[in-house]
Amino acid sequence: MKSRDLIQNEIRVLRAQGGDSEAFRDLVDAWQEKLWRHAYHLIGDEEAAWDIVQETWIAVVKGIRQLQDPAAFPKWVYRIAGGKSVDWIRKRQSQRRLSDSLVLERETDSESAACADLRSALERLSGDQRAILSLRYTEGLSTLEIAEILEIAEGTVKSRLHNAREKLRKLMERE
Amino acid sequence: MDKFERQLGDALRDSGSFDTERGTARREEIGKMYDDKLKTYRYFTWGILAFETVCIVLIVGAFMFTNEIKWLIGLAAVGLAAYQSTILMKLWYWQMDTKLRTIKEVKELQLQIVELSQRLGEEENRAEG
Repeated sequence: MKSRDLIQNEIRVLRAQGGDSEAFRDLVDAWQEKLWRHAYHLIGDEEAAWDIVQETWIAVVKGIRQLQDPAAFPKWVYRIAGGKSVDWIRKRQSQRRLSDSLVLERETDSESAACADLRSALERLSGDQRAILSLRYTEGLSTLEIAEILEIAEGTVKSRLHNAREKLRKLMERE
Repeated sequence: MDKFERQLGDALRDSGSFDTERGTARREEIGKMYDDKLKTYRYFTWGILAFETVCIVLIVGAFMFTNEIKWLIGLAAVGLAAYQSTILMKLWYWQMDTKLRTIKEVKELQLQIVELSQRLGEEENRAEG
């Protein structure tokens, strides 16, 4: 049986689709922080995460009426935020190519930095790994749900989770 | 979930500082964006309906003042199409509205079932305790 929160979220989506402004604002309240965290874990930049959240909501405003199944809202909205984050990373990578020397310097610095605790170990993981761990352990999503959001096989999610956990353990043991 | 995984969840939740005030301000911005979109949608729908009504009136007017069979048939066909499209629009709107309302009622029933089963569980626990 579905949990209370999930059903309440579906009702909010339905009301927003029907033109209820208050329900849409409630939806923003319920999802803004989750989306910000997802974007932040993917890209590791607080300011840019806000821009991504804003762009995600613009896409939601445009497309919410076309969403057929209200239960698919979490999957849909995470996918939008993920896509916007990937676009941001690509844009940044192309900018980075212009200043390669600077990047090399920064990477060497981060390689030599010590992992003080779990949080600093997390910062050493890639955005993908942080995001997948966050979806699993912060949002409590199942591997199947994560697979649907990231549009990859469930087995890949499991192996990525395993790899991320192992990398974290190793980083912390090195301490 | 083991201890490490719980710690991991906490660390992920704590990483990055979500600015609640900024979140509230953004909520209003996004809400306004949604309201504007709704307004545009409403204006668009009413605009189309008004345009179709004007078309029908003009066609009926032209129909009254022409005697050529070719023109009479043409105007009748266009008038009928315009009239049909207003009906189709209203039907589509009604169908979407009914669908949304039905699903919403089903979801509200589901919510009541979950709440009642939770309450039942709590009462059973109290009776056992």
